[in-house]
This record gives sequence, C-alpha cells and structure tokens, in this order.
Amino acid sequence: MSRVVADEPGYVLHSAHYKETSVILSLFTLNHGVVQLIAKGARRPKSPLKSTLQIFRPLLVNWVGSGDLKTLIGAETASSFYLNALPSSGLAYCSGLYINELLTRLLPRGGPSEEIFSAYVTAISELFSTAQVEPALRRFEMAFLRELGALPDFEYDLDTGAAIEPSRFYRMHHHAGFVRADEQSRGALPGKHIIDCCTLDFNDAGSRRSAKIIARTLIDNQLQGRALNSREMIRKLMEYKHG
Amino acid sequence: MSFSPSIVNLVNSLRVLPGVGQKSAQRMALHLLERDRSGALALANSLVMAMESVKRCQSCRTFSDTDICPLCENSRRDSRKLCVVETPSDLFAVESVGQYDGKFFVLMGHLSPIEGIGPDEIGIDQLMQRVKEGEVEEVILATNPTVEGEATAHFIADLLGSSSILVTRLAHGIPIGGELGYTDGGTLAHAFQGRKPL
Repeated sequence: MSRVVADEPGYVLHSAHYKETSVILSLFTLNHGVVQLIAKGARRPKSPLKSTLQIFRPLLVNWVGSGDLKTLIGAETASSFYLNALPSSGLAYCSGLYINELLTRLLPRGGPSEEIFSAYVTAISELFSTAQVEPALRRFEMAFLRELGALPDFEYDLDTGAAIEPSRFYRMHHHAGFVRADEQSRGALPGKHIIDCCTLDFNDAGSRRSAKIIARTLIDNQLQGRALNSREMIRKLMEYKHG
Repeated sequence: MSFSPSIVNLVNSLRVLPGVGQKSAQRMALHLLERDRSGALALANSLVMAMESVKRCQSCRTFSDTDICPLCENSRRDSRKLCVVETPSDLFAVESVGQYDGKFFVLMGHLSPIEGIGPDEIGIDQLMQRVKEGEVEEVILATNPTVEGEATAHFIADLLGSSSILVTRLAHGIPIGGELGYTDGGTLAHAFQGRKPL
C-alpha cells in the first residue's frame, strides 16, 4: 500500500539532477527523518518547484510511496521564510552547507528526529541573521551529537567521579568524558571551557576554541575516517581571507 | 526480433545522449542507416574530432580547440571586466545577448560539498590567480540564482573582499511578460530589494 504524507515540514539538504527534467531530493523532515524523493518535472522551464525546492528553505511537502524513494506530489514554501533573507557572507553559506553535509553523512535514515529538526531550524535562522557563525554552529553540533547519543559526560571526571572544576585541566577520554590532565599536556582543556560547552555558553573566545576542538573530535569519531568536504571549504575560505 | 551486433552497438552508444532512451536510440539508429548515411558519417567524424581536440581554455576554463580560447585572445574585448559563470552554456547565453564586452571565467559547476565539489574543483585558485595578475577591475558574479549559486558567488566575493576590485552580482527580477501574482516569493523579495529610482 502506498502511503500519502501531507504537509510535512522539511528542508531540502541536497538535490541531484535526474534524467532530463527531474531531480532526486534528500529531504530532512520533522517526522520522517531524512527521506529520498523524486520530484518529476521539477526542472522543466516553467516548473514552480524550481524556486521552491531550494536548500535552506522551510517547506511543507506532500509525497506518496512506501519504498526507499518516494514520489513528490507537491511542495510549498512555509510562510515564515520571507521574514529572513538569505545570508550575505560566504562563511554563513559554507556553515549552512556544513550542517547539511553533517546531516547527510551522519543522520540515520528514516527515524523521527524532532529534536534535531528544531536545532536545525534554529541554527539556519541564526546563521543567516548574525555575523557570528561559531556559537550557532556549536549549539547545533552539540544538540545533534546529543541526539546521536555521542555526547560525553561534561559534568564529572570519568576517573574519580568528582565534578569538573573550572580551574583545573582535563582531556577527553575515549570520547566518553574527561579525565584530569596536566596543563601542559597535549589536548588539555580548561575545566571552565568544558562546563561552558555543557551549558552552551560560547561568549568567551577560549570556550569557543575548546568547544570547536571537542565537537570536531566527537564528529570525527562518528565519521569513522570519512572526510567532510564543507570543512575543507571553510578552511580554504579562511586561508584566503587571512592571507 | 534481434538486431545484428553492429546495430545493437550503435543503439547502445546513442543512449549516452541526454534524454535518449532505448526507444529513441533505436529510432535514431534506424533513421541514420535507412536515410542518412552520409550525415551519420559526418557526425561520427565530428564526434571523434571534437572529443580528441577540445580541451579547456587555460585562461577561462571554457571548452576550446586551442590552449587559449578565441574569446580570451580577442584583444577588442575589455579585459578589465571578468564575468564568472557556472557552465559554458551560461557563457553562450550571456554572449547571445550581445551586451557584454568583457571576458569570462567558467567555473564548470558550483560549490556542492555533498557531491564533493569544492573550491579546487571549480578552479578558485585559477580564478584568484587570474584576478591577481590581470588588469581586472570588476568581477561580475553571474552564477545561477539557486542557493548553491548564491553560496558560490558569496564565497568568491568573500575571497575578493580585501582587494580593491569591484565585485558585482547579476540582479534578480521579474521576467519580461511575467505577472506579479504568479511570481515566486523569493524572486519578488529580491526584486523589491533591488528596486531602482525612475
């Protein structure tokens, strides 16, 4: 039996040309996780879907199908979209593409994903409205990792069970938590930064730097050796900008 | 009924063309065999010649028979202006309007990390080199008005941000003969932002 899904909130993560006039979409949805859809005729010259099926645009989508590849019946832009304009910096775009790539590579297919969806909506609107992309990216990464069950224990020392102290130094241990470390040792992070990471407080530049290291280590662990192209893209952008 | 091996081979080869499936390929093959053998031989020759001799222009990356394409070599074109487009067909589109007298740079795609297309694949280093060494005063970003095209344009604009070069982007607007009521909201929003005094 084919199932019809109507008015499902979602975002296009990626679209690939298929045959002459169609596209295959990877759609991130509120209740069905990431689904693959074929949008027939979406590339015809007069197709209204062309402008609708853009990445970063909140959509309400209808589809039918029971297999892995569903068929799109219709899609419209959720009304809130025109309130926030698209960003005007390469870094904000690259950061958005990074989030899309993370979801494409790491989110298991099919399962509901309400928490991640709401983190995604927040992250996209934050990225597009502020000049500071890092706090938005870190908040999304932490929420995403939490839902994947990949967040370490930020509160207690894994060895001793004592609370992490702001003035001491720690290092990550087996991606599961933190243990005391010498300040000079490799990968040592101040306890304050770890606590900030737990409370998602990224006002301090040092905390932002440490949070980036923590998120990157955890994400690399999830990726199991696969590379993230968007990360390379951001690196290149920064390299050019800062000589 | 099964065809002889040469015909099967021809039908299969024709299917590399975009939009051509089994049925159309069969029709094409039979048409060529029945009615237009000389045309088919000419096609075969042109295909071989083009595939063997067409390469990328070293200056603008578009397809060209020579190392530097005629457009880049043309000294009457204004080399102070550089128009950045995604594909050779975009270049043809701009050329066919006949208004632009500057030079081009063809990215051969847009940034798409999920497909593995990054700055290296679209020749960003080459573009920056060209801008740095040449007499370019204005870079016109004519990537497609998709989010990926927009991202690519902003990426390049960010890279050129510190230089004294004027970076412009093609305007978005309502098509000629269009109606406001049927225009996509995104286009309309852009058109409003880019309105001009009369």
